[in-house]
Parts: sequence; C-alpha cells; structure tokens
Amino acid sequence: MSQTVDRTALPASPAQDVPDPAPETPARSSGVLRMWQRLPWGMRYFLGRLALVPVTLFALCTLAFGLVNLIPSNPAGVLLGDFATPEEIARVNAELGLDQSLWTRYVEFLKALAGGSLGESYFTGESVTVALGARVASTLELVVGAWIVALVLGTTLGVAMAYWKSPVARSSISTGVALIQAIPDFVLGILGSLVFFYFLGVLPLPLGQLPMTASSPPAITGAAFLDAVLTGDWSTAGAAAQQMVLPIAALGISGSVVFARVVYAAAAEVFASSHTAFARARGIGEPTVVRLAVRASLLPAVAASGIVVGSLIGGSAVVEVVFNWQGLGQWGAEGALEADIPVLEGYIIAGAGLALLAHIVADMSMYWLDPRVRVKR
Amino acid sequence: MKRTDWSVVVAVVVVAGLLLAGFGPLPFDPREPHLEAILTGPGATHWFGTDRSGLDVFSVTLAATAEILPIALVGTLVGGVLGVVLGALAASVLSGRESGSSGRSEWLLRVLDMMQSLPVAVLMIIVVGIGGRGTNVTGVIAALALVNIPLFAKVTYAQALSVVHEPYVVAARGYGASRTRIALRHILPGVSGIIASQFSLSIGNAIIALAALGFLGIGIAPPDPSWGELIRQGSEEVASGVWWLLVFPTATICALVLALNALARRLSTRKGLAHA
Repeated sequence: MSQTVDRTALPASPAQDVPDPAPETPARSSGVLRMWQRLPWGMRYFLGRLALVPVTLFALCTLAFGLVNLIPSNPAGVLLGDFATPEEIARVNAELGLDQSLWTRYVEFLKALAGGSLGESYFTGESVTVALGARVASTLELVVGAWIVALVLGTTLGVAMAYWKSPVARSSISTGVALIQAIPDFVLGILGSLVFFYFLGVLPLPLGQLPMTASSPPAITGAAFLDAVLTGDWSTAGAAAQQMVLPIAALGISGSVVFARVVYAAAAEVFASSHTAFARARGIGEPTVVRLAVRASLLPAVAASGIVVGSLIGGSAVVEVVFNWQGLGQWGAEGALEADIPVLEGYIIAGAGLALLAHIVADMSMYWLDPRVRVKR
Repeated sequence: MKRTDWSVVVAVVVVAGLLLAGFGPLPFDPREPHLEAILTGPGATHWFGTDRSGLDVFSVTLAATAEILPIALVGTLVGGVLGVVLGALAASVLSGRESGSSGRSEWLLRVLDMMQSLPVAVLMIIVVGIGGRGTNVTGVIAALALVNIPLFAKVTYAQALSVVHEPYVVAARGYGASRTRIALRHILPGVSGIIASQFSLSIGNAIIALAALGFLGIGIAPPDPSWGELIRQGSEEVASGVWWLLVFPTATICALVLALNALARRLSTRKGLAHA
C-alpha cells in the first residue's frame, strides 16, 4: 500500500528514466505514450505496419484506377458490338462517364470509394462490392488449399533433397522440381483432368464447384464446399471436395517450387550444422534428426508464404477459367476481355489486397514462431 | 581445367533449334486449315495431329515458338534495360557517389515494392486483356516491361551496392578514374552475371505467361499461331481424350523453359553466387 505514496513522490525522483511530461500535457496522452513504449519492439513494429494499411490500400486504389484508366480501352465498343456507329459510342461513353477528364473520373471514383462503393459492372449492372463478396470465398478456398499442398509437398521435397546424399536421388528430385517449374499451372490442371478423368476415370468431370447432378447448398459464403460443410450437408461436401482436387493440386504443385528451394537451403544448413552432428553422436535416431530439421526449415517457408500466396492468387485466374470455378480470378479475366473498368478496379484491389494481407500474416507468424525476430533490437 | 557443362550446351541447342525450326520450312502452313482432317491423331501426314479447325499441330507449335520467343525477348529486354538503369540510379552508381543508398533511392524502392504488390498474372491479364481478344503485341511488351522493371531494378540495386564497396572500386576511385569508367569497367562486370541470369529466368517466365494469356485468347491469339489456343482446345476436348493438343505444345513450352532456367542457374553460379 506504500505504492500510492511512491507515486506522488515519483516526479521528483531523479532515478526516473522517462522524462517528465510537461505540465500542460493531458495525463491521458502521456499514459498512451508510456503504454506504447512498454510494448515489445515487435509488437510496436506490427502496430505500425497495421497503421500503414489504410495508406497502402489508398495507394492501391489509386494504382488500380490509374492502371485501368490509363490503358486505352473501348468498353462502349464492346458493349455495342461491331456495328456501332460513332454517335452511339459517344452516347454510351457519356452515359458511362467516360467522356469526362481523367481527373474528374478519379474524383468520382474516390467519392464512391468513400461511400464504400466500387461502382457497378458495365455489362451485368451487378455492384462490384457485392460481386467481390460472392466470389472471394471460392478463390480463397482454392488458394488456401493450394498453399497447404505447396507447403507440405515443397517441404518434403526440400528436406529430401538436403537429406539424401546420393547424387542420383538428389539430382532426380531437383530435376523433378525444375520440371514442375517449367510447366504452367493451368496446364498441370488440364493434364490432370485428362489423366484422372478421361484415362483413369477416378474423378468426376472437373467443371464447376459442384457436379451437375448435385443441388447447391444455401449460399453462405458462396463457396460450395465451405457452404456444404457449414450446413452439415456431408454428401454435397464430398462431391464438392472431389471437384476441388484437381484445381488445388495444379496450383499447389506449381507453388511448391518456391518452398522446395527455400526449405532445401535451410535444411542443408541444418544437416551440415554441428548441432546435427552432436545429435547423431549422442545416438538420437534419424527420424528425430529429420523432424528437427523440418521444424527449423519451416521458418523460411513461412516467411516465403506471402510471396507464394501472392502468386497463387494470380495463378488462380487461369486455373479458375480452366475449371469454370466462378471465383475472383475468372471474374477478373472475363472483365478484362470486356474492358469492364469497375470490375477490373475491383479485381486489382481485391487481388493485391489479399496478397498484402498474406504478407502481413506471414510476417506476424514469423514474429510468433521465431523468438529471434522477437528479441531483435 | 573447366568441365563442360552439358546442361548449358543442351539448353542452347534446344532454344536455338526450336527457334530455327519455327523460322525454317514447316511441313504445313500454320494458318491454313485442312478441312478434310479435323482432330486427327498423330500420324504419318500430320506428325502431331490436327486441331479442331484442321490446323497442323506440329507446324502451329513450331511457328508459335518463332512468334512468341522474339516478343518475350523484346518485352523482357525493355523491362530489363529500364530496370537496370533504375537499379543503378538507386544504388547511386551512375552519379558516382560514395555512400550507397540515399533518401531518394529509398523512395524509389518503395515505389518498386508497390509495383510488385500486384500479382504478376493479375497485372498481365489486365494490361493485355483490356484491349479485347486477339493479338496485342504492344500490350504484351508493355506488360512484360512492367513486370520486369521492379525485378531487374532490385537485383541490380542489391548487387551494385555490394560491388560499390569492393576494394577494386575504391582503388579505381582513388587513382582518379572517371565515373563512367568506374560504372562501365568496374561495376558493370560485377553485376552482369546476375543480370544475365535474371534475364534468362525472366524470358522463361514470359513464355509461361504468354501461354497462359494465349489460353485466355489474348496476347498472341488466332489467327496467329499460339500454344495457348491449342491447349484451350485440348482442355475443351478432354472428355473425348484428345491428348495431342495438350501434350505437344506443353512439351515445347517445358523444353524451352527448362533450357532457359538451366542457363539462368549456370549464369548465376559462374560468378560465384549462391546456388538459388
């Protein structure tokens, strides 16, 4: 109970390392400041990064607007078809507001954005934000699934490559990795459907999120598998899972290359280290040695996840078209062909926003997983 | 004694061979349909079979190589040159200043980060696709340049910064060599290996990207010979087991990219850089 007495005495104490707040500074703000200073370095770093997110998002929106509007395109021409007269095109351009100056359009875009709107599709009239909400879960389903496949496969390949000393084993794995890198992801998907649907007949026709015969579950997230699981409709979930196998495998196998490379580098270092030699000398079994190496090599893999998820989001565009997945990527690719400006702006913001989110999550996991990041500085 | 690196020999032969074959005489005109032979399998007349409009797959595949490689090369070159100049500027190599980075180069790096925050495929689909279906060479070159500028700039920046403080550069500056001489004679050789490696890698990626764009009907599209178009037809004919539309273009893409990636790895290890 002597603390209250101490506190009144504190300002006079020369031992205090925090400088005295000026008398006119409100006590509350100095409290916030002190709380901020008490936070560990890493936490401050992340809060700082999170504070930057709105700024980055704003820059992203500007980038999206600039990219889509600076490239010459002719949405009115696409809307009206090949036989449109110049007067008709001029009229539609005026309706769409495309006859305004770039600056006016940017101001309009920002005004709508402030109201939480990204406009409506020129072709379907659907609100872009509604369309994004209906499709984002379908794409995330693919991207998250592919990320897991890539992580597991890439780690296995990387550790195997570092573990087996025999040149035959090592070069055959590295040739395999090089081969995966040389085949486009969507082609892997098509080849997969040729083999597993046509030749072996073990998978259903891989088009859409559900087979033709299945009735779709009530739309909660918009992604068939997730919705079926959420409503407990297990037979539909099973059917949807079968439809997911090929697109996820195609994206995941392609994405595993990056993980294989970084994990190989890390695992080779671990296997060559003196602590591995010591573990072996103590008679610790090989499975444990490998398990420890996997654990150590997972850190760079997690760090690389942001980049991998970014490229999976990009790669999902063509893979979604191949499998008629109806997610963000297919929507964006089709929007590009129609020069549907609001759709493209929405697609860029969503795609790059998700990639940004993946980077932040990857960095935060590093903070959580790796004590070295936490104590730095 | 230097050991011959066979992977590089094979790589050069593959790339040069496919390119020459594409420009050389082909058994059939890649734009002329054979209506009597639609979707026939590989055989004596049509070695790789024919597609849905009766085009000879062998001829189209090779002609597409000759069509796509130069465009991939030019696009990567444009992006590469701009990127290297930006990277060198950021590393203050061109201004010949002692201290490596500055506030301005920090700024430049952030802008490059911003450019890279966009997934590559998203950027390419939009830049190339917004003009609508059909061949769009300008769009492809612009997209490849946009994608490659930040890559090359960052690689150059990092490598130049590590070279600028090497004793031989400091010594050259000490005996009064001019800025241009230092940049060209001392720094450029130090960064050229990794730039050449990145170049090889980027062309490989450009080839894969062009195949994907072709699949969507943009970039290089019919009536121009395109792998992507063959693969698209193949994907629609999967249910009837038409494998030759998929396998032959894929094998060509795969051979090219494998060769270019092997070359890239060789170029980066030659300069004593880490095996990436």
